[in-house]
Amino acid sequence: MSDKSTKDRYWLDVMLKLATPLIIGLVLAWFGFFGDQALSNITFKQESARLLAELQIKREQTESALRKDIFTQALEAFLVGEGKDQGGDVTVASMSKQLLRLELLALNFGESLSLSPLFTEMRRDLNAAMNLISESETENFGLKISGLKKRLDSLAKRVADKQISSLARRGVARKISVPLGKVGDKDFIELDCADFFLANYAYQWPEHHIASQYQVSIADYEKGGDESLTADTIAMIDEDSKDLSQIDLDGITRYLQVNVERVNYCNNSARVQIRIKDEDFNDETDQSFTLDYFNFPMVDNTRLSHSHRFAIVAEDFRFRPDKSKLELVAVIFPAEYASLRDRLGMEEVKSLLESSLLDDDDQSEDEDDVE
Amino acid sequence: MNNKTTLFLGVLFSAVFFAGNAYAAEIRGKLKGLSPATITVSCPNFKRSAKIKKKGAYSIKGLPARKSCSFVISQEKNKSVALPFTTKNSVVVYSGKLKVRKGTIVVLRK
Repeated sequence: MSDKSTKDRYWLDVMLKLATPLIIGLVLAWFGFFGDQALSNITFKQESARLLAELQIKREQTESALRKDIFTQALEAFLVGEGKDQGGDVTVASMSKQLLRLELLALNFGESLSLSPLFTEMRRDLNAAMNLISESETENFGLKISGLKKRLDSLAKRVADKQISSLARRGVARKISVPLGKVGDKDFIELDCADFFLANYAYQWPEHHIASQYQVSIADYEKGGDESLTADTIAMIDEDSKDLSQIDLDGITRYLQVNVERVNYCNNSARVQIRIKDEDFNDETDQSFTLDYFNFPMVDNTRLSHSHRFAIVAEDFRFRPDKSKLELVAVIFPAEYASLRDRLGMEEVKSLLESSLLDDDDQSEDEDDVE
Repeated sequence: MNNKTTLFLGVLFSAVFFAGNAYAAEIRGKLKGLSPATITVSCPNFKRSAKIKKKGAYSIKGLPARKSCSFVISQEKNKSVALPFTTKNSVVVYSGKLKVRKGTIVVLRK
């Protein structure tokens, strides 16, 4: 029994002595093989990422170079051409080509450059061309120029619409409809370019819009009440107006008021006053400007506190007998979605840094809590 | 196919095609705060109503395209004024809050 047990132990000992180097060898080989594979895998992924980044950079560089070339050529041609043909005459064809250059610029660079001066200049050129009708031999010259004017407005609307719908997804937008009523006692067909809708008073949004829903006339509302219009109703109008004008973005509450007056039928323009108040009803912005189709929100916007921007665009000047109205869209959006040329101010950079430091602190506090 | 058949098919195709184009708009959105309520849309030669659902959703299709229209919100005896909109886009989104004030429904477009 004791002999058998000694023999077994002997063989076990021998087996262990033989197997140990074999097992260690196998384990080392396994580690070597898979370690090498893992390392080559990581290297391959790093190489792929580097190649991808390089490819992306090269693509962007090529695209930038191409865009730069297009921009230089289109802008040069636009500024040098001035809508004249080779003989130096203004023709419908030369104006149409000029508009094509503007289309090229607007559709490719509308989000990064302020192109409104070019649009305004183009409109001025088209208006000047309209005055040449009598001198022109072409019968339909006026009609064709008017067609080009529509094309110009439609291009501006397309660029602004694209920008506003992109900004509205990231911010908060309000649609504002301004009924224009009549120009004095004039009939619609009697209107000329010297006439203005809302010439004698400013339409105040949202107060006048809410008042109309209470079937209270603007004149009565402005008078501040009489027998038919009680203080109770005025208080309700004011309360609903406040509710409608409230815009919340990233936890910041603001109140928007838009006053519209002097809407021009020929130029599709209006005088607009914007008032933005903070949650304590203190003025944050109060500014007046002329609004037309050539205001592009990513570029033409107003700086607000907390790295926010405000923009307003004319969506539609609709002139119809008894149904004339102006459709506006106002939007408040985060500054990072404004055009690239819109650099952050020092205050904004400071607040961004502070908020990022705060975020880090919060994160480390959270980590501490977890521990 | 003889000429008459071709002509008939042509007229039929045009009628279907242009009918589709003439009635191509829709108004939809969410009008919250008042349920149940009804929205009635009026456009030239067109009038249609729809119920506003519990969560405020509503939709009316088949509106004539590129027309000036208006809608009225009603609930029992309460009614809003006619609020104008145009069907220049194929889908008009009109969302907001509804409030009843002294028998009048006020629509706050948000």
